[in-house]
Amino acid sequence: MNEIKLYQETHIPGPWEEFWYQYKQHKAAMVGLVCLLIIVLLAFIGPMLIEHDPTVQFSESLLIPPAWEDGGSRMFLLGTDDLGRDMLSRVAYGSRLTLGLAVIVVFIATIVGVVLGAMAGISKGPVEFIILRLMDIFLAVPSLLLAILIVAIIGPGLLNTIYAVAIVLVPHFVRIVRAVIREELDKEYVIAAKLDGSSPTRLFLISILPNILPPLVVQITLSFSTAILDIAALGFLGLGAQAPNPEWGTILSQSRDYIQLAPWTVAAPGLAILITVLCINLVGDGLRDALDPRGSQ
Amino acid sequence: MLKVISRQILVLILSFLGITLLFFTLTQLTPDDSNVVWQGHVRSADSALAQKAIELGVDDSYVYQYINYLRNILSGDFGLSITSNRPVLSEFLNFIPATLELGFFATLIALILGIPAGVAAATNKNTWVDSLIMTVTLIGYSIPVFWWGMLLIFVFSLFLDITPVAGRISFIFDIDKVTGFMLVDSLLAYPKYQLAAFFDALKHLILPSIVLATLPLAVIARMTRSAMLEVLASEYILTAKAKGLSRFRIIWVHGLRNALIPIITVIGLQSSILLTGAVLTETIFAWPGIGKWMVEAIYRQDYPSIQGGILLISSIVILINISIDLLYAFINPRLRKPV
Repeated sequence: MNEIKLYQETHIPGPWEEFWYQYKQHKAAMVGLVCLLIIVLLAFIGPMLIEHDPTVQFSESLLIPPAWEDGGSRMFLLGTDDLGRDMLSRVAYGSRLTLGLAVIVVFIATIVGVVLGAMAGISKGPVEFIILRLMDIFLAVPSLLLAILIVAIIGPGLLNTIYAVAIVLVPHFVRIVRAVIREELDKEYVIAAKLDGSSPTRLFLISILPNILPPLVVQITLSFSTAILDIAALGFLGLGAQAPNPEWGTILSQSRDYIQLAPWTVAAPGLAILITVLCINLVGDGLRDALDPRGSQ
Repeated sequence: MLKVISRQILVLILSFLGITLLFFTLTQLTPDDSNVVWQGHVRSADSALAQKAIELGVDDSYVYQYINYLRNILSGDFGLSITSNRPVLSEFLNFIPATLELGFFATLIALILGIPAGVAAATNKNTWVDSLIMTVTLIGYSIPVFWWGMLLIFVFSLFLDITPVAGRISFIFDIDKVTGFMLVDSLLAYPKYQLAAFFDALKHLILPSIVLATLPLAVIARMTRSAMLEVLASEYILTAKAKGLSRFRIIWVHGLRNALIPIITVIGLQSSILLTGAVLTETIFAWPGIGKWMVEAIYRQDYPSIQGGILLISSIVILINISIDLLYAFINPRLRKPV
């Protein structure tokens, strides 16, 4: 077996390897990815490492500053709030709540958005027209006001926050999915699949879906950061997660009155939101550049 | 051009019908008697109210109710606010100037800082200037608006004590409401307070405008950067360079002019983002605009205000979007010719 080696490397990178290679070039995106993994890990194991319950009130130690400040206690690393609850455990448990809610919201929005977008993209005529006009209407209402309107109708609370924010996110998915499907429909591989007699559902699931994944993944990442900000905003306005829940926005709305007396109760949850959203946006930017190398030039 | 305008008018009518239908449907879902939702009164034995209920046709079919609803809206009747017992439309007109004032200054800040920042990032691509601007704008659109507002209040109002904490003007000034725009009204009160009231109003405006401007600024700067990069790579810029034009002229006159076309679309899209931000900014700074009005309406379960308010706001957003589309067709000659 004496093969002639034409190329120095025999291994040809597959799409995943190619993508990972592109993504690695982006230093900021790598930092974002590592930070995001740490945050997700902390959300999973963090609460197990913390001794205090997020809702337990230590009436002896109200508004204790963080451990490194004068008067701080090593019992409460990030201090306590006005009811004597440990800030560290509140923020740590809050990460589960805020991130978990965001995951559910984005999951629902993706499914609904892709189904509607695919319907609008593949079928022409009245179906497309109705879906698009409906989405235009949802887009015309400013996102937070739409969420407020939905909450006004179904009432505040955790579950209703999920519906409200998901409905806000859906139109963006529909538009993107429809636009990329339209682009793909004219390509030859789709025509080939059609000539083979595949049904619209099969055409979408088997032929088109894998090819529209890149823009979809970018949109999912960006929606994730929007979802976190909107969930926190609703919590802050008192329309989302309700009081004892350690949702980051809800914590902020409670500690707002103590900003002068106890700035650490405002700093911790706010920084948590900022860092998480920042990491997600970094990953999103990196994904966009890696999946669409043309756009980055 | 006529075709573009007529198409936009059709879109406008369809959007209006759709949005009213949406709101009408949502009203049927509100956890309250629809008579309360429409008029702000519980159905009572009061003969005038009973008469009104018949006029509104709350007991008639949905189609009839919807037509009635449309008729009321078109005649400017959005019902009564439950809390103030005043017409929702006049409440809206009462609160909108404060939001417009805030939104105007926020847009101004976003444009004045955002476009040059984007141009600077594009012309210094892959240098420290570019990375700095990209990093700052990334933080700008990752930061939660309400937390950013609290942070600025903490630093500038509580710690440094150079800006007021909240409101539009100090209570020591008694300004008559003429236009509703505090800067104008405080100037109209010139004989009474000279410029003191004006500067006080200006001081109150600084922090909220910065907070509200942050997100649009970041978006505009990034959009300007990518639009500029695309334009700078095109051939006519090379021609301009070959002609020996100065760098300044190439970038700011020849380059930016074409880059502005996509930027204008983005600016139009900001109206929706601005109004979302206004809800949070106004809540933080106790700014008496429509955002704060809406949030308070929800706390009080004032359905007529929530409904009418959001319907009016959405109509404004639709109008702005359509005007931007027209402006876009007007400044971009490529779109004007029939395709």
